[in-house]
Amino acid sequence: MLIELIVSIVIGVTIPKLYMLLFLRKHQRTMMYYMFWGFFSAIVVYSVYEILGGFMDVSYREVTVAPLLEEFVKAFPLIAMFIVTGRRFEKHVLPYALASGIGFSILGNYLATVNGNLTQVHQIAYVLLQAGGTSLMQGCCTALIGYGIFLLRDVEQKALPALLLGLYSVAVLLHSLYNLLVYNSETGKYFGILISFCLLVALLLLYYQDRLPRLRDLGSELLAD
Amino acid sequence: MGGESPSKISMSACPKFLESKVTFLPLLETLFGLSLCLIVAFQVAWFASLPPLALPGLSGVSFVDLSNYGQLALSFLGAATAFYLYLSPPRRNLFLLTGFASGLWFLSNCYWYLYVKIFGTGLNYPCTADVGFLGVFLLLATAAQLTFAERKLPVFVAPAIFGAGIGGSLLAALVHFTGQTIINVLYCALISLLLLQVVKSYARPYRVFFAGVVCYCVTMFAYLLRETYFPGEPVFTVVGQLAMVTFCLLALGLIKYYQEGKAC
Repeated sequence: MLIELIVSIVIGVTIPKLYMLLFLRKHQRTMMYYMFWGFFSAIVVYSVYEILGGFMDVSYREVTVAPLLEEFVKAFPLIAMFIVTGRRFEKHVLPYALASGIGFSILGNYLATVNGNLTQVHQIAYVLLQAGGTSLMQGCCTALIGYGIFLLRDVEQKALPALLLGLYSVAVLLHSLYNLLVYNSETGKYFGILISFCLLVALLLLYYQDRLPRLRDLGSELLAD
Repeated sequence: MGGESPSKISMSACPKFLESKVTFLPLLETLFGLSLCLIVAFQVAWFASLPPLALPGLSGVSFVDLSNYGQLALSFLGAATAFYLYLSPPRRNLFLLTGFASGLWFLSNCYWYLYVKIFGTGLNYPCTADVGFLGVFLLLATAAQLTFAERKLPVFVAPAIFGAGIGGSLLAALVHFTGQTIINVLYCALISLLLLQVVKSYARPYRVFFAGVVCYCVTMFAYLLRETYFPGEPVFTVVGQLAMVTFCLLALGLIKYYQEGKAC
């Protein structure tokens, strides 16, 4: 059964990380908790897929249902805390959200490896695509929601519902675009992976933007020397 | 202006290109104004010579491509314009929310159009793209609510607008209960919400912006009619042109709002 397989993988991945937790500092530990949520959200999502399996074909599920469900479940703790407790996050929420997305995608990679009926070479190529492209996209879409939540911390209360829905919609659409390109078009595959890497670069620039002037000054100093 | 207070998002210092005295605004105004005139002229010519299509040499497929490229270009430019205006202090919610709305629509239409190119057929309605299209309503309604003072309306106005919008679609859904008619109820509810907000917040100096908002309501109403009841009907190709006009009007409205703010 698929669910038993997923739960076994989650247990196998989570318990060793629990030992690591003992040695981690506050922010590192929080990132690990979000990664655990990513693992758990994979159980939720794949359970729903098991139930829906008989009602829809895989292509429709990948392009339409998966983005809606996965982005909601992965970002759920962030959105819930933001709305219910009114907690306002610092910039660290970006890597936390990324960890949730990456945690989810790790489970997806395990399943793709275990379930695929591919030759050895194709298996490696497929997992490379999954790990290099799909995992990145999964992480970045959730990270986008996280960074958006950071930006919303000082916005007027009345604007929050619309902006949160907008953030969620952006993540869903990027995810859908990726699935549409990668799983349904040969040339589109490369564009999909390119989109993931562009998203990563954009998030890195946003996260480290305050260090950029210092890097520029450092560069100038080195050149002057 | 109205009940709006500047957004308090703290970001790094205003980018240097915004401090430059050379402003892109007149160029953007010209671009959007020219696009608006061309689109209207094209659509009038198209209606006047129905059938066949007004522009010789264009097949039906090319028309779809052209229309979608225009929609994507103008929605992207509209979003870029709004965010460009937002980055210049004082930061107004109107620019942030409208930019977000345009960008969201751009992404949704990207997805919609790519689906057509890859599969050679339109998306099943409703689909993931509708998440984006629906989100735009909330963003524009919030933008209007936060920016412009609201007037007190007679008691019957809100029920009349919602009654007409939701009532009609509910009736249609009861007659023919499908996924499409159900999502139409949601669309009609949001169209009613946005139109009500326009009625409450309308300010004559910013009529171009409000015209853009109303145009968006008309566009999406025509879209849902086309998808549900009139698939493939040639007259509903006007949806694409209406979408382009929407983003031109919204962008021109934002530029005017920004210029008035600077003058104050």
